[in-house]
Amino acid sequence: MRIPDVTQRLNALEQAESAERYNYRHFRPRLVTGEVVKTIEARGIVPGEPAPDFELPMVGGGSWRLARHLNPPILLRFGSFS
Amino acid sequence: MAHFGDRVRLIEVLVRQGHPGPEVPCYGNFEQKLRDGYRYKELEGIPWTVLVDDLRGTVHQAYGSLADPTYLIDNDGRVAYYNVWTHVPTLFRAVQALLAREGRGVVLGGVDRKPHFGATLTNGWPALRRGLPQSAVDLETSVPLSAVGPWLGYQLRPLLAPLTLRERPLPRAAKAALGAAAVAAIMFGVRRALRGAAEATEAGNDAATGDNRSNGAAVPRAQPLVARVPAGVPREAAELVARGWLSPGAT
Repeated sequence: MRIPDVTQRLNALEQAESAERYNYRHFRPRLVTGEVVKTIEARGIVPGEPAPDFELPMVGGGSWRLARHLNPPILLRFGSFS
Repeated sequence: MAHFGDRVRLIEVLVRQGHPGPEVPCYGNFEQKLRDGYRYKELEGIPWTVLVDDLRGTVHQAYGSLADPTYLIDNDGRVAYYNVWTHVPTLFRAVQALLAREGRGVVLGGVDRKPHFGATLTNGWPALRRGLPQSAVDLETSVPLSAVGPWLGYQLRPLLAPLTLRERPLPRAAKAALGAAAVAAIMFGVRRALRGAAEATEAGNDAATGDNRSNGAAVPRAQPLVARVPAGVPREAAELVARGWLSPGAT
């Protein structure tokens, strides 16, 4: 199975944001509106589709790539410091 | 998800500042973000693997840029299920269902988009507190009471945590009991409101008929207007007399 890369998927997204816009300085009402729309439309990866592959640095050193850790199942959570 | 041991792996990706503030400004370079990754893991006491997304949030954006999602990825690397708003008891059921089918396929319909805010209300304050005062001001300006709610929920944590921070789904009997309690509370509130409205109407009638409550004396209940007019007077005329629009002699 061919697993799409996150960069390919991001480039294909119409709503992709620049680093400046993505890292907003203030939490604004437009973000609330955006979350409501994303919730209604369930704008995540469609269930049944391949999860885009990625490799990121790990806290504590080294890096971690999704495609190398596919068994057992993975719970992939997205969290924020603030 | 300790229940599942090594049959499922939990990975967390650190994304942008959700609620920036003076001490936690929006990221301007990757080093800031990586440093927060270490602080996050240490301060929250996270035992699982924490990854740090790049400055643009490439992984986060590719996965939908949602505020609080969790994906369940099956053994073939496909999305088996995801919460738009993370809810551990639902994920528990999803993992159970996935393991029951040998770790492959879509489970529980694939997506849960319900806004589960119970855990955020109970446990979201520490993250929000890092960005004070700006984080709370920005949030209250955007959605009133959305900063006060987590503060209050955090104060009530010992009381709420068994319900909102549980790992396993509630048993059906507990759900039914909670539902019955909610219905009873609503009915109690409605009855109180109706009784208050009736008393207000009664007080208004008393005022219209000239009853005076200011002397402290017991006030008899207001009589129907027509009942106070002498017998033998036509009903319509009696009403006019009672309202003072017609003199009694005219009847």
